[in-house]
Amino acid sequence: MGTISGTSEVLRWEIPSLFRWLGVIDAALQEVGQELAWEQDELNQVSVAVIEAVSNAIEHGNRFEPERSVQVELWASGRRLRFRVSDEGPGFERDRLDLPTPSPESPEFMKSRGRGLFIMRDIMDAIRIDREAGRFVVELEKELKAPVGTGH
Amino acid sequence: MNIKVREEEQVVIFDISGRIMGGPDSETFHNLVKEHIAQGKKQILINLGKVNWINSTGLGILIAGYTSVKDAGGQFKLANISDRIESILMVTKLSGIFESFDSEAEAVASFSG
Repeated sequence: MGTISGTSEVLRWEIPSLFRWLGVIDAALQEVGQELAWEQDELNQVSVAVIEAVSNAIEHGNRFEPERSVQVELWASGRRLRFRVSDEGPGFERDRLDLPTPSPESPEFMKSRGRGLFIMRDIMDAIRIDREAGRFVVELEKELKAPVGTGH
Repeated sequence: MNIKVREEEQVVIFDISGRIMGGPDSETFHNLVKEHIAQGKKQILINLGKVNWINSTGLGILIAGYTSVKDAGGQFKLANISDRIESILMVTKLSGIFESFDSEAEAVASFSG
């Protein structure tokens, strides 16, 4: 599933583009969070953001085509986490990352469009998009507040 | 997502289990909400006690249900939300929109009329 070397640990998963496999990624993140002693609230939040990225990749990127894969990579180094979630779809324009999150008072607030992106942006420290080897990549970074353990 | 519907003191309770992620679940949920509104049953409680997690598409399902019931003059509330779901409601600021309760009994008692 992954390689571990030195202080930087890399984990990789790949699933077909069906929501039924989201649970596999979620379960893996719970396991990783427990192994690396992430604080529970932060684990909840990080998993929400990553699941959101994977959901987007399945639905909007790969259009639920099971033969298209979604890949998730995680680098954990000390308290810094970096996720790369990639799909085989067309991606979205970079300027969507700059759209302001609607306030609850705004009429836009109850509309669904863009909520997934707002969730990722609000939880993580940084979000970037990229295209690499024919895949659309969403990169998410966060520095955890609670110290990360070194595992067993 | 699985939904079982029951009634308690004139409150329609949707017991949801599994994951709320959109797709075909969206239509099933909307149809159920609309059927109950059409029957004049506009006090709807969503019991999330057995929901593992929800994504933004799933949140859209709840928001659409909330809007339909509110527009019909009813009330749409949540009960038994887990820490993880509370976390996503906080991040999305939806915790200020949805009225939610720790227990079903509290939630049922909160409905008026």
